Amino acid sequence: MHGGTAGRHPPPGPSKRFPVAAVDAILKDVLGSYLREQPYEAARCRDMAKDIAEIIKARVKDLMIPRYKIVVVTHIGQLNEQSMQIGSRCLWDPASDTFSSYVFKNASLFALANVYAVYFE
Amino acid sequence: MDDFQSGDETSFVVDEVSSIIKEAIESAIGGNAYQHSKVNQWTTSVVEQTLSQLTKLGKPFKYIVTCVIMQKNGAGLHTASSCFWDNSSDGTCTVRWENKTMYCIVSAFGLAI
Repeated sequence: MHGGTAGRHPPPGPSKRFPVAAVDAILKDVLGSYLREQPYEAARCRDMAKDIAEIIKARVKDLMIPRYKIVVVTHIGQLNEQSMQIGSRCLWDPASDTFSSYVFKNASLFALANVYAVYFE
Repeated sequence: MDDFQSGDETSFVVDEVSSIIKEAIESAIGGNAYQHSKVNQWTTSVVEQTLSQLTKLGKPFKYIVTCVIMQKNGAGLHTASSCFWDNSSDGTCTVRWENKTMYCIVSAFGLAI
């Protein structure tokens, strides 16, 4: 009796792709509404960075994308004539994993929010 | 009857990752002064070196590594992260490094497959 082909099935992949555009809109909305008129103040911005990360995570979870793990990273910094570089690299599966990023600036501060979405079987 | 795995093969070990990150920072920018023209290359090199060392650990993880290099100028910076994952297997490690002219902050997130 022959066994069937020994070939593997290709991995099924996510049934629902991660909606990058919807997440971009969330980031723009959250950063804009929380920071629009906010001047840089050390204590307040420290708490805002944490709160904003939590809020973004909650709103991305509300999109109900199944089987994705989410990492949200926010940076809020003072604008002071200094120069900086922020970069990230990921080791993942580009067919199913993705990220979304948004930078907000006003007169005294800048804010960067990154959302990384990683699929797991 | 003890049934649990020791966890070494499949959990995120913070100390191990922390020393990988420190080595990557030292070798890429240790002893250098802030230079705007080099910063892009430095962040790339820190992140790529960290990622390749993490890969060599051979664990079933996906990784996200973020690096911030900022000139010392009296300006403040706050960073926060919030993650939706499996607490028992996933983890994160952040290393803060500085010298006379710049700060470098590297965060690594590991998510079990």
